[in-house]
Amino acid sequence: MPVDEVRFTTTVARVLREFLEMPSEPCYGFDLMRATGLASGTLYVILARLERAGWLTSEQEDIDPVAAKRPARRLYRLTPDGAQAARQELAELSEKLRPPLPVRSRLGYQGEAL
Amino acid sequence: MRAVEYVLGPVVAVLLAAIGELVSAEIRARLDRIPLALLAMAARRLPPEQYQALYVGAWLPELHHVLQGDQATPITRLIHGIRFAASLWLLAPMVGRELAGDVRDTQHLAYQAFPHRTIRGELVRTKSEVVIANCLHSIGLHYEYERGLEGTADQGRRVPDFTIIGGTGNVVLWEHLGMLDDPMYAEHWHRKLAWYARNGFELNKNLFVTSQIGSLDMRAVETTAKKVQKALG
Repeated sequence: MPVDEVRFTTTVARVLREFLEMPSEPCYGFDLMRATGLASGTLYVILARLERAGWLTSEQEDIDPVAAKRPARRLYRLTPDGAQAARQELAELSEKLRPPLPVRSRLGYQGEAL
Repeated sequence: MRAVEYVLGPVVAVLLAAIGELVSAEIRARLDRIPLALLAMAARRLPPEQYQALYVGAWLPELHHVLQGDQATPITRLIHGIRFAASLWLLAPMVGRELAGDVRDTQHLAYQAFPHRTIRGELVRTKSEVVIANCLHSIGLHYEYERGLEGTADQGRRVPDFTIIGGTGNVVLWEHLGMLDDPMYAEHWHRKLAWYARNGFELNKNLFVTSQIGSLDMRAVETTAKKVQKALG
């Protein structure tokens, strides 16, 4: 299923970069906060946006809360289409943010001749 | 005299250590309330239809992890907990708006938090709640699952597991406590119970409680259902 377009900011990129470290592995919200350095509010806005657009899915952890003595946490996972879109967007962003080449290199051989 | 000192000295030291430990535990429990209260305030800023999925299904378990995780030393967990809850308080409406963009996904989130379906057809959180819902349904009582209850004496809102409504509109609540051996859960329950009392809900009169540690006692569920029926008149 094709994913919807997402407003791609550097904070969105940080979250997706973290997911792409291990695309098949699910992530917890708090672990994502620590890994990206984002505040919880910012992170959950991004997770909601990505999930709505179909880049992510979420599911409740499969545990017995009584036995584990804690409530089940929510896990977030990249969808296959989301992973593909994330790679493409990150590559484009990386290209846009690449520092310009030094003037001499940009001038190339012609510059050397001057 | 010196012999008495030799005996009493270690006893006093042990007693002081025990008291210190108790005081420390008390302070820890009270400090944990700060981020929990902040997060509850954040949840109130969410659209009502997203309350369960986001607050109960996602945020509260994460805060629980922050406060009770292996690496949670007292000061660190308090700071992390407050930061976690405060940031959500600030941006909760925005999270709600992001999700509200697509109703299907909100329903999807709700399904993940409430994976069990009762005979009557609604989704609930645990298998024990399925049993209770089915039991109420089987004896012809009309219930609503996790219906918000606004305080009459206190400001604020609580969400009982089951609200059972009688023919004359009288209301009885049923709470099922599945994790009472968890100190944080128990603490939260005692505060909720006090809130109920202040707002006109009295144990075994118009508020009934079942609990389980481990397996569910079906006889207790059936007995409670009959008490609820009797209370409704």
